[in-house]
Amino acid sequence: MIEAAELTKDFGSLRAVESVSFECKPGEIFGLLGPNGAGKTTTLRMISTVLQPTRGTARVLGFDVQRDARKVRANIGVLSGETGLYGRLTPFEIVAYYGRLHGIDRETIEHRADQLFKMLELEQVRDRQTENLSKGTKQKVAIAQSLIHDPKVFLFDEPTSGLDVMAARTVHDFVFRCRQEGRTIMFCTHVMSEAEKMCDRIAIIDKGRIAIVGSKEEILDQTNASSLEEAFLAVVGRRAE
Amino acid sequence: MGAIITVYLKEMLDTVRDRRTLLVMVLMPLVFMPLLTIGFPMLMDVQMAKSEQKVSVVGVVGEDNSPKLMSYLKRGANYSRIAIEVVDNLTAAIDDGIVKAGIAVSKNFDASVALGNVGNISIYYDSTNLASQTARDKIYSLLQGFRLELVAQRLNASGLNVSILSPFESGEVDISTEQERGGFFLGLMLPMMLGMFAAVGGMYTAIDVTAGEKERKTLERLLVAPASRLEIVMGKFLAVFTVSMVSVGISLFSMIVSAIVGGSFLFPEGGFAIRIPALTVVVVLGMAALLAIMVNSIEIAVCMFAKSFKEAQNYATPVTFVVILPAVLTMSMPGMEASLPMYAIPLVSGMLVFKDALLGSFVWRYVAMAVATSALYAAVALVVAVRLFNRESVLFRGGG
Repeated sequence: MIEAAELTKDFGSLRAVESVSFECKPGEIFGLLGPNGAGKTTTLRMISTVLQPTRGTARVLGFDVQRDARKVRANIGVLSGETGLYGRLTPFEIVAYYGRLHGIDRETIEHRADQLFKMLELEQVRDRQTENLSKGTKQKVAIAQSLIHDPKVFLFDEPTSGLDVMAARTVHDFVFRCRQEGRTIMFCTHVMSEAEKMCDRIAIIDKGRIAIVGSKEEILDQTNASSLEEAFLAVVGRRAE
Repeated sequence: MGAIITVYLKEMLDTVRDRRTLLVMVLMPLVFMPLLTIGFPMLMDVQMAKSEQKVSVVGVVGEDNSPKLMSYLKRGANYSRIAIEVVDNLTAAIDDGIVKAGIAVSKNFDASVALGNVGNISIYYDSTNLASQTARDKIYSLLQGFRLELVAQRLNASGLNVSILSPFESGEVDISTEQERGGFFLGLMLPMMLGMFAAVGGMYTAIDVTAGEKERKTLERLLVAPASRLEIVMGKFLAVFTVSMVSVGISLFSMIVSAIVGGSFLFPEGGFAIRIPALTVVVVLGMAALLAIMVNSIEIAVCMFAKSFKEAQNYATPVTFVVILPAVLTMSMPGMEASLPMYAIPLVSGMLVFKDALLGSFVWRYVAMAVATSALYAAVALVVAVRLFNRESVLFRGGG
């Protein structure tokens, strides 16, 4: 469960996120949909404890992101489209590194890494230097890395950005599997079709504020639109005026 | 503590697989030191010998003014490795490369000298040309011989012996020990080199673990792991420090081996010994460690600001030089006498202690001052680096 209440973030005189409140329940995919620079990543960074909120609070599984930051980090997995991996290390070394940072013992890391590599079909590249792998394979390694500590909450930040169709499908399948397993999932994207396909509930965020939140049907109903794209344009366009 | 070790071990694994770091950490001190201490002096020696052995063409203007000089030069030409060429204009002949240097003999030189007057011989050469300088030295040496010959003739004519010019002989006694001479030889370059490798040795690792992590987009993933930022930055710092100290250790070892080999080459007559007592090694490495902590912390703090490896390189390189250069300049100032306050100056103190240690002349209150102040500066630099790592504006500069 993720609960955000009046989350606000200022960077100097710039207000990047303003009074954002929402709830994300276990077993649902909660989408944060918005154009580039709308405040999606900043919101996600506050929830993942990387940034400190200027005002407001957020709780992950009941842990406050400011007071219990370490507990929050121990329970979340983060996957972004900008695959950040250590090129000189092998997939196993990367996964093991994050496992050790989460305090997992060596035996468990070995066992869990074997399971993850099998699931993601990474066994062949387990001990190859990561910099020589394709972008899709790297994203699979990033998935394995984010799963090593079996987090209950997942934060996805544009996870398919820059990926080809097959690699994007792997990520989508992974997100659906997380939902099936009852994990809490927050999914940030600026791609309308992706939000429509993936999310159970969607919050449209623009200029740092949540403009509307609900299921796809509820949003269409509230905006008198026939598609999510139309609804998005109606909400964002109305705010732009 | 566990997270610090985990981050440290990962950074070390990453470092040993990075060719750039290995190049700076291992290869540079291993190759650079012997080159500097043996290679260059040997090369210079060979070049000098070659230049001296080569026949230098020497121009003469006014050869008719001193048949005696011409006869003396011809007699000594083979021994002094010169060939004589009569020219009209010395400046033009040197410029055109016809001769390397030359002499202009004043009018009626022989007649003037015979009357007991002073004759004049001007040596022409090009100070920007090494071959011309060598030819000048050969001419000068020959003219010295010619002068002595004329003096002897004048003294004989007056019924005096040439020994009248040498009423006493002088000699010198060097009171320094072989070990002190060895230490002095090491002390010429080693302090600067140790300072340089303490700074440069870990520079690439400092860039890689900070700006490199930002550029690869791995920093944010690391920040969402359940390790505190203090633990992360300490793990990274320890890796940079280890690399610096390995670099210092290799440069120390390489320098000592080079000094032993190079010393026997540069001082073939002996009287030179390299003996490094265990206490010296302990003091040098301890001081180098404090110096490395300070410089590495500054490097980490500076590189943290950068968004990319290249940007960090642009910051770190001048910072490293700004840190090292004043210390080197202070050390090489003529007439500089080390005093207690100088042992409180950052980096300079380290270099002074290195020098004292190599000479085996410890003044313990000076060492204590250097250690205490360097530890303080190192601690401040480390605290600043840790604080910067906690600042969002630094970690996510330019959108991070």
